[in-house]
Amino acid sequence: MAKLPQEAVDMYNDPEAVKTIATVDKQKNLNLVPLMSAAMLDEETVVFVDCDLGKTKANLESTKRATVAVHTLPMFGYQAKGMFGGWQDSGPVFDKYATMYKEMMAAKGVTVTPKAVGTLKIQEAYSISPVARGFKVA
Amino acid sequence: MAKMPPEVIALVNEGLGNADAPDRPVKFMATVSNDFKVNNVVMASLMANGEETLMITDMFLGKTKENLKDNKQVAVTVFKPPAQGYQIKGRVTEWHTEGPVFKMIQSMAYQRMPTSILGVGVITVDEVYSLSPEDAGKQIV
Repeated sequence: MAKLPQEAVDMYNDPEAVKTIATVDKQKNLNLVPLMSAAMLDEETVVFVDCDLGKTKANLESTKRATVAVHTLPMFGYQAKGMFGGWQDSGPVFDKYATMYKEMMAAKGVTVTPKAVGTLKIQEAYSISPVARGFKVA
Repeated sequence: MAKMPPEVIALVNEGLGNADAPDRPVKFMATVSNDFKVNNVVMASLMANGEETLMITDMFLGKTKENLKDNKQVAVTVFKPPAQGYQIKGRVTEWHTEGPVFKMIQSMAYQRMPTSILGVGVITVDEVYSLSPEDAGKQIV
């Protein structure tokens, strides 16, 4: 596992930062969707909410691989590559992040219904900012 | 091959050349290596070139370019918070390092940033999906 630097943790925890998750199936077909619920459970683990993840969910359960990227204006960001750590549909982690995401989206006028929270155990992470693109940070 | 509807083309091309615009859509592109490692990066240069193709500019693409040597499949997401966006899946079918396409993009890129580009990739669009909450995951074309 790899530990993200604090500035990357802060960016993943910023509700205004745009986050996406890329996954792949066994035939190497890619899926890439926004994941605004993504946050850091700790400095080694991304946590995210499943409302209706569809192909992302199927790919996570099949190949376990995913990369969650985060971006803030003007052009800063990171990508964290890792392995899927499973779903939780009850308990304190589910309660905390499902509630946080519901409230965050409600403030933007969007209603969501969390079904579970998933985790990604980070194995490596890179800057995707133009000035340090590809620089390994963890 | 699939044809992107006008609203998809409009969102892909919105904010091109204005990286500081606070409400511009953010564009990401994913590629995959032979050992299933997924690369997911911001692709600010992404633009629609007609209804059936997208173009990307190579300015030190690194792993993205490396992955494309082995697997031409890509997924692109254009997303405007809080909830407007599309996912476009396709294949890189051309790579220009000289000639009229390269020169045109080099000229456009130079107007935004005085730098040289290394190449231009052309992505043929195969599928487009909505990312809006009311029909998330719905295939449009």
